[in-house]
Amino acid sequence: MRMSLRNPRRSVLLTALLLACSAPVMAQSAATTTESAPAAEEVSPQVVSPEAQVVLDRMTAYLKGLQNFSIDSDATRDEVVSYGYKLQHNEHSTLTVQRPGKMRAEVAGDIRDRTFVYDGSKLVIYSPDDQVYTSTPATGSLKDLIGGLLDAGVELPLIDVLYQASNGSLTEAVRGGILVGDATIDGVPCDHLAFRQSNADWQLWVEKGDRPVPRKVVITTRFEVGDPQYSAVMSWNLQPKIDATTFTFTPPKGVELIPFADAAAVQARSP
Amino acid sequence: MEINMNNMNGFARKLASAAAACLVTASLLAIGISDASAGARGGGGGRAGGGGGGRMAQSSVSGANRSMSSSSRGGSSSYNRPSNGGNNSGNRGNGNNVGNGNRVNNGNVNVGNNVNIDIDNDHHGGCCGGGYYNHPIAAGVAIGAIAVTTAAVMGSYDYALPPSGCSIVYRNGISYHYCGSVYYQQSYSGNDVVYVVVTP
Repeated sequence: MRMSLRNPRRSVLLTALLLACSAPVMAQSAATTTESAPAAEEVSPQVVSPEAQVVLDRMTAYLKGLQNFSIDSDATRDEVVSYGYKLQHNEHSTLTVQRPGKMRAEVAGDIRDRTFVYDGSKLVIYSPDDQVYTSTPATGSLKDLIGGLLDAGVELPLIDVLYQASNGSLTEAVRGGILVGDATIDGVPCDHLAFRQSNADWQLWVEKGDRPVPRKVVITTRFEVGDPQYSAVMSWNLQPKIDATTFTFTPPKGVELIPFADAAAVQARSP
Repeated sequence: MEINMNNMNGFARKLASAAAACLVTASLLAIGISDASAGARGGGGGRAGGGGGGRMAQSSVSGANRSMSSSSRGGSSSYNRPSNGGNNSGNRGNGNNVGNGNRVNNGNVNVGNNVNIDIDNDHHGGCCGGGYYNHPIAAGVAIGAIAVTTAAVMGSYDYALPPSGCSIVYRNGISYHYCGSVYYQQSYSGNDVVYVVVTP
């Protein structure tokens, strides 16, 4: 962990996080050598500190209670290219949600521009640069849609926020989590949380007070050269402007409808 | 990728990367890496190859969790996206620290060209109708079977069409790109718009 250790309290907490992360591993190896040990009970899959869990629960409950919201987000994303050189790509996105089943996301980024529109019965994905869009039936709730997008490998901006708001199980793979301490994001006091799991370290900044929404997320991909990170700062609007056009998509002139092939429908990518 | 880098520790992977850089003409691994940097920026006014060939950071925890539980997809960063070997005049590259005639692009542009020449009979991308601002990709490098065999395999796909000899054919209201003896149809696959080999 490359975190500041100048604060003694943080130092202690980080040690706790690291111990929490390694404890299940040690327990696991102990379990394998002791035949009489009951296998599952010995290993707790989640070791999130109680104070961190309180913040998480507060945020999750609040997100689940929101009906309409929109998030403006500025995100950066690292790409490690030859010789370990790290590039940073930028992206601005707007996500507007009307629960239970409507969503629009606009992404303008260095890597790609996309518009996603979900009206509760179909999902449209539009690529202005390619002058194409696709429309696929998708009945159900946002929760179902999120699962389908994750399965198809489609990257929807801030999908973690939607996922936590509908599923509330973002920490399912976490091996350790702590409350780091106080922080300020965009001038707003926040609680800073840190989590570790096998393939990623991630941090979350949750607004303090009566509006506990996530204000920032950082995801560090583990075991990649250069430790590439994704970072997004979020600005929330709980009274978004929603009108008849928000969740409808009218293809611009000359834009063509093309199929949406599930990953399995086309030949698998090179191994 | 022929080498599963996910299973190596950090030091081993650095070694592997260094080795790959030395064997640039010899291995697919090197092609993938050099292509990534060959197109740090550019390509018809946008970005040449950025966001494809390199190793991208995970952009969501839920996605990371999903990719852990299902091995069917390699995640967003595991494919080789060929870069635009012949088109490196990106506006983002002009006059900044990364784009023009700098460490990132030095040498690698040539490597990218060589790759395209060797594998694709001198395809240089940027061919078919433009519009690849965010997908500035050369034709046909090492995705599925298209690039390395002459017979396109049904259902395989690529990020761009061959650079010449393509015409648009309409059948039953659907447009196909007919290149040589192969029909391609544009399709969304995951995050990307690709060209799938089809039978109309």
